[in-house]
Amino acid sequence: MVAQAQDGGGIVGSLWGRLPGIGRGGRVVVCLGVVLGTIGAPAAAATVSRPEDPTFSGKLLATGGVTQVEGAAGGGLTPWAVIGGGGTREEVGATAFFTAIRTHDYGMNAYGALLGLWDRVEVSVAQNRFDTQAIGGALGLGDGYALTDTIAGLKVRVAGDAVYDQDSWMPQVAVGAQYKSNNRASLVKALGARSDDGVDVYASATKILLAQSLLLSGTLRLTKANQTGLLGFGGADDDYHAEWGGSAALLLDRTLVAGIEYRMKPNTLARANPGLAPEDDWYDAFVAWLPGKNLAFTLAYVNLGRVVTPTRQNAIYLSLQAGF
Amino acid sequence: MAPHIQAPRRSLNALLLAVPLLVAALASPLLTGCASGPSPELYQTFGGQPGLTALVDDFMDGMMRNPDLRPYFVNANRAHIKKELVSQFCAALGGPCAYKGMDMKMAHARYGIGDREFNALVEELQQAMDRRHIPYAAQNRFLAMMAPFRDDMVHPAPPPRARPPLTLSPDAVAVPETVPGKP
Ligand code: HEM
Repeated sequence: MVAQAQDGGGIVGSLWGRLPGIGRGGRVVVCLGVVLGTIGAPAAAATVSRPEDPTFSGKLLATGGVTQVEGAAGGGLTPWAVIGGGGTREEVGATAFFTAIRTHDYGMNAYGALLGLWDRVEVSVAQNRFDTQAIGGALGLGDGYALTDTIAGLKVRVAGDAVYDQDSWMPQVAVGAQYKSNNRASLVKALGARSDDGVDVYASATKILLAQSLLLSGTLRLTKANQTGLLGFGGADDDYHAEWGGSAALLLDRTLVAGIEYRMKPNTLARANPGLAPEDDWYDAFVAWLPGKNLAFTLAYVNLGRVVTPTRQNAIYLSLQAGF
Repeated sequence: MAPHIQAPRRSLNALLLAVPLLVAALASPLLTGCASGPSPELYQTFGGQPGLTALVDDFMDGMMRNPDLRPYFVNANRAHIKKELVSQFCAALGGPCAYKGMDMKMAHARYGIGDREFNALVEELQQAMDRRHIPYAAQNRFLAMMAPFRDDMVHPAPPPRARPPLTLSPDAVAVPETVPGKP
């Protein structure tokens, strides 16, 4: 049957040729038709079998990643170059996430949603609500005083494919920006920050070494943010600082990924305000379970270092993501 | 206006980052058996020729049950495709075979295959490999060799010698499953 279908073009072509009464002009038209047909072949064929109605969730399981605290698709702490959601290059996708981080002294909830467009562009919004709990009381702010950071993010895949470029070292590369705005302008400025809003820009490179069942990702971020923006932007200086973030993860089976992450942060606010403990880098060890295309759970143990007080904050991190 | 950019000063931190990445990179080959690419041992993991034949039979059955893939194969010469797949997989894995079938771009460019369909096929293949209890790491070693074919099949540039586009939708006529027969 396939052979007949393949030869269809040829049969039609030769029929045309045999039709009587086609003069020179006719030949030209026929030739043009053949040429156009050849040029247009993939486009014409493209309508044959691909569904014409929109489809969703065509991505391979887990290849959209989970959602990092600021709302971008990635690991837990740092973005990856992948575009979030289940959409392939022909599809759009979306996910929503909720993350709870609990230390002995603090609690943070992060939540938001992202839209992945044609595996090319990712648009995200998120909020980080940082609850000072009893420390807020001790600092005279009141128990349970909370700072909320609202983040709008944009990420564009510029090159490569993390999953499919297995015959080269080329990673998937994306560039992104996150606009962040803090709702406690007077407090963060009183602490020494220069501003209550700021923009981070970053470039991420992510590679899945499939033969090794290994994922590696690195992100270079230019930022002025103190504690990712929860304590405003700038301090001793108002400069952009280049900070690295990285993830390494093992693909344990099709639904299970375990890994580690590291995220560097500048230390500008404590240099402006000696009353604050220095800001430390963050790192974690995580396990993500993606039981289906629409659902992901992440459990992590995170070290947030010192946050305002000299105590090191070890946190439990639990995240849920749902989408298509 | 141009912001003054400070490079990271803390080389200790860079080290802290590099060490776990390195450890993971080194540990993973240990977990996966150290190798990538074709090898006779990988071919044996897939059960040699009988294993591959059974895998491809099961794989094709899975594809025929998959609504995204069925239209592409319902009208095709499945017995022939399965035979070519076995020799292609065998050659890729490191078995004693040579693939003599069509070039991948030549075979697929005319079908208008999208990412979604390609991924659906990969998932059917993964499920078939699961059913044959092929270890996940070996599956990934194999898939790593197949993955680059995507660019020959999905939105490919027109191949140098394109076969004419289909004039008939591949699923226009449903050939009963029994017609092509088993190989
Ligand atoms: C890594 C992925 C793939 C591999 C290794 C592969 C391999 C092959 C091989 C070896 C053949 C036989 C070629 C010959 O007749 O000489 C073939 C044919 C075919 N494949 Fe694939 N294929 C892949 C993906 C796909 C996908 C995603 C689709 C559709 C959704 C598809 C649809 C077909 C069809 C319809 C044929 C019959 C071609 C014809 O006779 O016109 N393949 N494939």
